[in-house]
Amino acid sequence: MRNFIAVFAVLGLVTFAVAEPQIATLRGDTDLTDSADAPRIQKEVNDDQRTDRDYPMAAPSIPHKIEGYQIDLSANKCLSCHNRQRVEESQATMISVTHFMNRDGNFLADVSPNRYFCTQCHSSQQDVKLLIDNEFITMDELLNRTAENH
Amino acid sequence: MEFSKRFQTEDVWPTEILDANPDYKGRNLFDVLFRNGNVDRFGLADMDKAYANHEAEDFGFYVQKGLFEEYAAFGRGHGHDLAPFDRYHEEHGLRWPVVNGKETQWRFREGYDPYVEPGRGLQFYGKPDGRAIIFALPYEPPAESPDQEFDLWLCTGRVLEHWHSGSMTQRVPELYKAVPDALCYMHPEDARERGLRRGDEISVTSRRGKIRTRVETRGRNKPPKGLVFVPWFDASQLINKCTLDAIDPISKQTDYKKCAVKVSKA
Repeated sequence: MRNFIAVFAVLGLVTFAVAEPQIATLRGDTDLTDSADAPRIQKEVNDDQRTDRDYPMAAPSIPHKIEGYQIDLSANKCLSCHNRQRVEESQATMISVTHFMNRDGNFLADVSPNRYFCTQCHSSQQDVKLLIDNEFITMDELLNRTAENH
Repeated sequence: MEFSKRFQTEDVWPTEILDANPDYKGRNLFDVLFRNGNVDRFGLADMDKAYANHEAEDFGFYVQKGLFEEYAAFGRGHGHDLAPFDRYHEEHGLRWPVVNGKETQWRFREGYDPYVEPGRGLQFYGKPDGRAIIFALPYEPPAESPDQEFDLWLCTGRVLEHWHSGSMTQRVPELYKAVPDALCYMHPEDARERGLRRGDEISVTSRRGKIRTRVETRGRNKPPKGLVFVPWFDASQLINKCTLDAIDPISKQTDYKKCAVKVSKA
């Protein structure tokens, strides 16, 4: 019995040693019972520079401020520049042709109601430091690497 | 389906079922379930080429239609009639019962629902007396309501970008930059009354715990006066320190949608 307890005591020590965090948590150094400093709200990226999309069908992020934009039943501020009839004046990107299609694939004269609420898919970006590096590579790079190895 | 070919009925079904249905004895499971003269009665010629039902080609009969029609047979004739299989390729949905090709726009109502007997007006024919069962339940007050000290409702919930917590999505640059950290969404007048401005660091405190976060008065969430919303995705701002451990006594559902908190400058 004494041996049994001793084994458990050793196991307990080992477990304790292993219990140190092994994977990066998003909580940082703050203890679970403690309350971290709340990071400041950062500015929205507003440089109008388009970014590459990782997939052809990915919804592009918005490269400008949209704070205070009204998007509701009575008005849609985004469409005042990005709708088909407005891009000549605004020189903004026209919304995708898919946004004029209803769910049966028929093209409508104006933006389809199921695409009307822009921020359901598109969001602006804040100028923040990433919590953790992301090692995602695009399929283009994946194909390049595969080609090099053959 | 292919897997079922590897079993005899004796391998998978208890003897009571087999004794009650002697025809099933000693037969291949696939033959009983699918190659039974019922599920396999529609040939490949019935197929709609617009739908990629490749399994049908593999098995040599239109299994999708066979299974649907077998299922639909259980509801037809007593108020749960479905339309023929091919009809649903033409329309997105039909309200049942679908009788003689016509859907029922107003169920249990005479003149709309063909199952309602003439003269009944409104007949809930699922019950012997034709009347609906309505549950009248007593009001159950919240486990905690705002008072003088804890003067705001706290509601917790999700943001689209970090739907099932941020443990994965906060590591994706585009999603993290869209919604980096949890915030306390608040009505501008509630903020003004407490001397707070957008972006101020605050404590959200309940009788159980507190967190530090920042005020947002112009965000995507626009709470009414008297209520603040804090999402729970953020591992560094554990808002469930503030929420209740009360549960619904019957369904055992947790009550993370309402408790009393106070908000002050941190």
